Amino acid sequence: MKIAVQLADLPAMHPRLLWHEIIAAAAIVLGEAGTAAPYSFDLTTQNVPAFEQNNLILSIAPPDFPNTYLERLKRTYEPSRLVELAAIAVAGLGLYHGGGHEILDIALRGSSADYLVDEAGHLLEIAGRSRRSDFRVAWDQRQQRLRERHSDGYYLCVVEFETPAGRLSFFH
Amino acid sequence: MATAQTTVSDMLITVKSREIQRGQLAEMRADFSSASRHLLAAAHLELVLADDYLQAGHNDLALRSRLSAASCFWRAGRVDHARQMLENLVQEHPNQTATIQQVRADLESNPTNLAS
Repeated sequence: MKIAVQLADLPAMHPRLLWHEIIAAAAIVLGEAGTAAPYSFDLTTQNVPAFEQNNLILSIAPPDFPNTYLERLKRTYEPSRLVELAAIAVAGLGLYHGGGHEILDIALRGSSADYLVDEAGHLLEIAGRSRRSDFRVAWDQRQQRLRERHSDGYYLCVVEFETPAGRLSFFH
Repeated sequence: MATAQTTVSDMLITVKSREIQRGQLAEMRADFSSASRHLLAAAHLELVLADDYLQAGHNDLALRSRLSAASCFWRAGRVDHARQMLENLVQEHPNQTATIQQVRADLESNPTNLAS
């Protein structure tokens, strides 16, 4: 399923969270892939509740940030942190357009997850990598950690920005 | 006599979540002074929420908020206070010892949660 999305819409999709720096980080990381905006992002979806499709091809339009702001952000955060933040943006887009899910809160420490999704409070773990070759290890590590600790439903979203592509799955 | 209805404020939850986020972003920037301010604010808000949840009969959410408060105090540098809070929670909720120990183990090994 192909869909045009705006990073600037994330605060309306998940209004309980802060998005400004996450959106800017996504604009930086997607912009460094070498293609022009809007950026195409292939997100595979597996067992996501209320979503029948197996993938989302997101055409992501960034807001028009001043270059000075983006440059300052690049100096402020290490590249790996920017990738991590950009992954949160992709997960937020995927959850909203893949079934209308909402990130409602921050997950508790020790839960091996980052956020809570929907009123059901499903855990969501997000990881971002700059290289495609690091995707598999990141996916396997997180899936194992979550499986060991939780029997209830949880989401896992791992993305890489070399292709760029990723996977959003729900486990229960 | 009318019974006062206890509700938990959505706005309070949102502000708390955003304070934790601000703290996390500051940790990512290695701005630990700012992180401490925001995480302390979040810790106190979690304590208010814990009481509201308790009044509303949501004991599981009250425990979660108290655990989160302890975690925020720890990350804000109030480690002794956080340890004591976690000890108290173990005494009060012995059936939740594993969950509480998991939070403490995570904080011991990675206090700023910068491993993703």
